[in-house]
Amino acid sequence: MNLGSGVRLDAEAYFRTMRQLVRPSPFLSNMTDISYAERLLTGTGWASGLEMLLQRPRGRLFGFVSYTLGKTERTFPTINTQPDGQSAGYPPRFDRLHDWTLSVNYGLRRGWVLSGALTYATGQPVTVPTGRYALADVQHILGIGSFASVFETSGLNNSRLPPYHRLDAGIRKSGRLFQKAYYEMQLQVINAYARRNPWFTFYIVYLNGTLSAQEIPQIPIPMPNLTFTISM
Amino acid sequence: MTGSPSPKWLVILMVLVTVTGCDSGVNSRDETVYVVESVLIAGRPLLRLLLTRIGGIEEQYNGADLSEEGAQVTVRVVGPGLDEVIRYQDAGAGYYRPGNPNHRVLSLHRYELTVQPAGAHTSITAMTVVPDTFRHLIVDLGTVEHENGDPPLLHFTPSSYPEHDQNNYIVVTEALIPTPSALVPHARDLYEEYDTSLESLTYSSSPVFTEESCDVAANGTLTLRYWWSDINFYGINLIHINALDNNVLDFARSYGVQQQLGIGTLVPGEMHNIQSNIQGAHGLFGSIAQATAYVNVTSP
Repeated sequence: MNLGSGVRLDAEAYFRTMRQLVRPSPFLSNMTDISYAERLLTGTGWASGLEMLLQRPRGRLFGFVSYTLGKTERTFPTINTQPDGQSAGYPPRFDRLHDWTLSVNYGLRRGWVLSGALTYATGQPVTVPTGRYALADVQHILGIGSFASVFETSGLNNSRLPPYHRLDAGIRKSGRLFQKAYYEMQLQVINAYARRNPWFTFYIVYLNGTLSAQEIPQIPIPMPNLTFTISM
Repeated sequence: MTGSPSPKWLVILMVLVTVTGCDSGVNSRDETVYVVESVLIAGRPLLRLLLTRIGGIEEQYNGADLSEEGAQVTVRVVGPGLDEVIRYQDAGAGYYRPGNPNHRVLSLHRYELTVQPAGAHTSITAMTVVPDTFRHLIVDLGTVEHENGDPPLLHFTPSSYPEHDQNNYIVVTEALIPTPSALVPHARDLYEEYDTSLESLTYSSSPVFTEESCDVAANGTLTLRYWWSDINFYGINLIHINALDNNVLDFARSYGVQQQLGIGTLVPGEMHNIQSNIQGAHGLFGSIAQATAYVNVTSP
């Protein structure tokens, strides 16, 4: 859809189902003596969403805004088992309800261009333990002490990391080199406002049965990046 | 797509995005989540059953505060020519004792558990088939010097389990003299440098294994090379070989993965519930057959 002034809007809605999805069983730490039928789980899934792209590809001010509203779910036997014994669907790690990207470029004189890219996405699904229990009489059966905690979650991927957002800003210059080649030089700062986007959270179970969560951030500081490209 | 835009269409789209656009938080549970614990051992009397509730993740765990009393507990035993219901009696503090103390757990029989917690609308159910009994061919493994030469060999007859070509086993080592002065060097490091308790060192266990990890003799008996790393104390150590039913097998495997959190087949931070095979509760209702040998470990 042309909106005038060189601006164009594209939109697409989708819905699809999936069968015969395969993933490794999450309940096996040791694959010795275990058949492939037990190692792999076969499941189903679905995905639906709306994708929009508003772009102005040419002009002194050019760029695009893209947005995806999406939802997807997976269901595998034995994963996310409910009290009735049935498996409930769960959002996989790449499920994002919102995914925004704003890319703006502004052309200056003599081949210089200012650029900025802002991204925002819903945090990725993670599993947060919601309860714990201990077993009293299984020392000589499983070698588990009565102190040991078993953790319970209200469901796989029952929570989300904080939203992901980041600004990359830069300036670039392009031109010809000795009339024989093209070059592009770019100075960019990735994560310009030092957002501590979490990469993942992992848990450590201590021998006394307590649990600690540690959040691992992606690059938590502005990261300069200088590139020089020559093409013939 | 061509043509002029329809403002109405865009407004509808924006409203839709706004309405559906709330990111969710943690999906917590408000209802009571029960925990059942009872493992049957072939050839032995029925053990007590423990009924508790899940505790909060932030709270100090105290099983006594979470015990569930006043439940109706029955176990139905089904096998060739047998269909018997055993009622359990409330022994307080969440424990329930079998009303028939003379009953010995029958191998290759089916035990069906039903628990009706007080005030609950639905009952908890689970089922186990008990593995067949087996035995060590050499019960007294003698006296061995710790880490001097090969570890002892375990010779045992195979168990059997319906519908399984291979049986699943776990070896649990239990120290009878778990004192600080009896700690072997690697266990002393854990005790002194990592504050590991004596209780947690008293028992150690192997991963789950099958007959494929053993040498099989022509007469079908099995030989397994034991390992020094499971010996934490000098003195007498009991070596239990446990043949597992499906429920204990699933619990043992999934517990091992959960405690490693992120190692194995999981991506970092991924966590799964234990596979309990109990409808309406978490925990463990299963059965094993157990054979026990003993070894005296001395300091080199």
